[in-house]
Amino acid sequence: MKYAIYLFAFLVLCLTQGCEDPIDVTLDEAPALVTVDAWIAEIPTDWEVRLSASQAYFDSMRVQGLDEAVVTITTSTGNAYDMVPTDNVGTYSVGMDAESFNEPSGTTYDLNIELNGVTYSASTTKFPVPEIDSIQQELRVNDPFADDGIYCNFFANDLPGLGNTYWIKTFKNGEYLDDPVELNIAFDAAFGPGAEVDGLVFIQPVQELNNPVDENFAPIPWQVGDEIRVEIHSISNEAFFFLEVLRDELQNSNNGIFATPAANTPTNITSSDGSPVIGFFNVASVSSLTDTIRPR
Amino acid sequence: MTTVLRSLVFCICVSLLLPLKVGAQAAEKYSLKGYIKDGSSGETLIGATIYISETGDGATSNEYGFYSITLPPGQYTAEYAYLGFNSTVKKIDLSNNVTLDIELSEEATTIDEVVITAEPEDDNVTQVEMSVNKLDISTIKKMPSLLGEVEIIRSIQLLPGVSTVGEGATGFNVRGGSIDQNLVLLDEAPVYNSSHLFGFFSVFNPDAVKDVKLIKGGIPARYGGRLSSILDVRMKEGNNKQLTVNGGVGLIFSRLSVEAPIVKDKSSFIIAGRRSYIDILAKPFLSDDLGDTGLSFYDLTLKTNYKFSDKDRLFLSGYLGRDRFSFGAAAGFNWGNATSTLRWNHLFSDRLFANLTLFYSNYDYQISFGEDAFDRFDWDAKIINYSAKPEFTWFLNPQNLIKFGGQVIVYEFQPGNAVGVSEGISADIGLDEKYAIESGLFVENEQDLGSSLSMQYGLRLSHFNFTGAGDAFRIGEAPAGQRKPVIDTTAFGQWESIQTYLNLEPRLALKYQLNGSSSLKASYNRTTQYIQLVSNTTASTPVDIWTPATNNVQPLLADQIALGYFKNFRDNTYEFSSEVYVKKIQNIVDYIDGADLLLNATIEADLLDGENRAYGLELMLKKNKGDFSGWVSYTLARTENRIEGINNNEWYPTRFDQTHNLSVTAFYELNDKWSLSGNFAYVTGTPTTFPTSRYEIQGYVVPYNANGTRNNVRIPDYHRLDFGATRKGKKAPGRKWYGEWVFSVYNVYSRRNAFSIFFSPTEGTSGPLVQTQANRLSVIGNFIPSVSYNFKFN
Repeated sequence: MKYAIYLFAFLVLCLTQGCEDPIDVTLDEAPALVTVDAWIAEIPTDWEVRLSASQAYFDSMRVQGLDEAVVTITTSTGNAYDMVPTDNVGTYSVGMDAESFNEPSGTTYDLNIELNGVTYSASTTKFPVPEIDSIQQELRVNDPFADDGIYCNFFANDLPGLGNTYWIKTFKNGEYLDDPVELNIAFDAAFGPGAEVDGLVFIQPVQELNNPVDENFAPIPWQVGDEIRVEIHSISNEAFFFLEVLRDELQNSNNGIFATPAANTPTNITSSDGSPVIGFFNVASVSSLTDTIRPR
Repeated sequence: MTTVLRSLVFCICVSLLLPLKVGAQAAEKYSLKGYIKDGSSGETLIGATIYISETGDGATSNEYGFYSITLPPGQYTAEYAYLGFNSTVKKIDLSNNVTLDIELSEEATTIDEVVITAEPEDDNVTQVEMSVNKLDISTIKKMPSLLGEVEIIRSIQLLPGVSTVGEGATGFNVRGGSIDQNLVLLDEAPVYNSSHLFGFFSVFNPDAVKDVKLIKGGIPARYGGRLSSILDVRMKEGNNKQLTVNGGVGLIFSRLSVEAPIVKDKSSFIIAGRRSYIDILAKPFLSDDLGDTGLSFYDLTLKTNYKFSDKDRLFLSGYLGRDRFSFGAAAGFNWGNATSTLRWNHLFSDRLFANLTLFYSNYDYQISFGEDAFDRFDWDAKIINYSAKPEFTWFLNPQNLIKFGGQVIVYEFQPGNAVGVSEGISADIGLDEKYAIESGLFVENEQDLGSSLSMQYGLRLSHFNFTGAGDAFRIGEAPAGQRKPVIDTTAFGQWESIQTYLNLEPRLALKYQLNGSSSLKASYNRTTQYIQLVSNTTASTPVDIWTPATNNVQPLLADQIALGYFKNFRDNTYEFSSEVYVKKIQNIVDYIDGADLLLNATIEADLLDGENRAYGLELMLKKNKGDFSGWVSYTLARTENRIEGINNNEWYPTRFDQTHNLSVTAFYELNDKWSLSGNFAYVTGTPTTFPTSRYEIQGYVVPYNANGTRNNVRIPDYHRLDFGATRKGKKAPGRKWYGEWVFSVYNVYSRRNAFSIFFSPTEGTSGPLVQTQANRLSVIGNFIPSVSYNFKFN
């Protein structure tokens, strides 16, 4: 329930004529760490794994890709995929077609990376995903939090059983809504573990976070003719926590006096020499639904 | 541990031996007892002294204004004194027990003078207690303040040993303790959230407050339940001589209080209220969409008392306050405290004073959003407690003042009731209630061991019972810093014990009088805390919840040793104190990265445990008398945590660690019309965590601290200057209306003090080539002038 905190932070600044301005600070030095970006999704496109080096925080140059690695994914069902470099910025891929997605839920996938004499490895399981029933378009007027216009909700039921975790991605005219505030993850039908809302339709505000937001986090209405696509990706519990920390870190700057201590994202990747490594490996089943915004 | 054991054994021996020794002497002595009061209002005076010139014995009035002193039969001269009041000398013929209520009148000459301490002139040197600060409400009223509002909690932050995480943050930190380690008492009932409007104003209405006392160390055995400090706020009883109306009109809120006798000299009441009008002022500046936005807070304080006889007196007091934010019909947030206290003072004998306190305290918040009954989210949480607390004061003889008693507190925690409704389908994501019973027994003695040595020693036995109804979780092991697995769950019935804890808390304070104007003091205390605030934000939020010690969460234990040197100069015009302290706390909690603190049934799996150490030097020089008065306070301190799984398991400074904390508070009486005041504060920047690196994943550019350090850098130092000026009204005999204008400027030189430094993408850049920058967040970015008008009618 971070939403309450955002609102409090906003109120404090409104009330106190507080201000934010950029300043120069010196950061501690740190070594560049191997970063593994391996989020495999069962959609008819190439599977991609990106390897890169972390960089100094204020360095805004393009990240340095790590080439010359040998990257393979093997499954508990006996399949093996060799991923080949597709550019010189650390991207490794393998062409996939619909038939490649026949692995049953519960299949274990192992990622293996050989780089400069070090082996990086991770293991994950593919979980099932519920179908999306519908995308609801509604006209909202006189809402104190939103401009008048059309907004969307999606409806889907969490799969039965405790501990299903999902990443719900929304695309507007084919573009993934990538603001950290728009990062929508669910633990069962709610937003965190411990709530134990099992098998129900995704609750508010999970179902509602399918609208783009502006710089003040106010939702932007959809325009007639826009295409909305909602995808649900099944993720492991560990991947949920990774995304939760990632989202909180990226949004922490909005929390003002109620910010939480800076935290590092966890990882499920290990290195053969014990060297620190950043990143995550997940294999997702995907369901999706596309709709066009109609006049109301 | 040996220290603890030794003092424990000592305390027990002394408590057992004393009554025997005294029993033999009792027959041939008589008592002089009564109440000491303010002659103009009938308010009892706390900490007034009586001094017997013939024997050199003395006594102090207790929290209810009661005093008692026992002497052999004879003729005596008793001097009653209280700073700012004319002393009264009485000839006493003590041939049997004597009851004498004394009314002191305010010193005419001091009306225009600032009285800084509401205590006899050399109490700071002669009393056993140390690490104690008392602030007179009239002093607090004269300090320059933010937006002209008289502020008790902000005033406390100008005292040595007290810090805050930053401007606008709720609560205060004492000697390196977190904000939930302060027991904030309003007429003996605990107040769980002492702030309005997050942390800008405290819940205490200055017109209803009589006395404020902060105990930072050498905590007497009668106080229990929190580790670091006691903030004891006592409400006025209400003028029992005549109708008095106090009020004020300020920029943020207005106040009004009425006090009057119900039955003269027997019964009186006070009712005091405040309400903010930010909502009304802000309305023109809000856009149409936010036109329905409501922002307000109010509080109401009530107290009444009735004197049945010389032996029995009853007090009933209550507080109700609430902050309210609403956004049209679609969303609302509100939170507040409610407390009520019933107290019965009874004199069993001339020497045995008893007080029975019954209280109820509740803190709750409610949040709701949603358009209609089919799509909404409702969430509320509460902490409720009921308590009974009998306390006895036995004025054994001038050398021994014994207090004993006990307390039982029944807690009900409602950590989160939450229901989400989507398209008419409702999902209950609320948490179960938790229950606990905390109880304590204590005995303490303040003993005079001759002309120069006196001591206060005591023992508190505390017990905590975490009970059902509810589920108890068994939590497994996990690598340091990671979420632990829940192994199994056991259901318990109502009041069925899940886990109990028993702790002995020895307390000891010593004073050695070096000469008439200086003394050395030392104290040791162990304190135990069974409930804590679950919070991992820089400033605590109103939605943070309190949670009890459980089968997985150990109670907090603190040991503190303090040493002090106290010296007064120039006939008590100047007071100097210096203290050093060392405090160690066991079983503190912190949280795993990404912990879910709200609406999480298995929050215990997200907790990490560790220890805290704090040490420091506190210096204070105070000028009490004259046209020019005030104090300088300086603290050199360090507070550090070591938590398994944080900062590579090494010690790191807490978020409110301040190496240097200097404050200067000054008052100047310019003439009959004007008085001036000023504050200056200089504080070392608090520690925070900076990232070292960034990485890219799934298109997100994420900050990362590759060294795994916590609080590795400090934000810039904080400093601020405030000015205040009061234009006083005319005071003349027979004049019923008194009014004064208070002008103040907060943050005179408009310094943008950093509350925090945060890191974010530079506006207008995104994608893999996003630029990232550091930003300073200042809560107050400018100087803030204000004017308010206060009046009194009687």
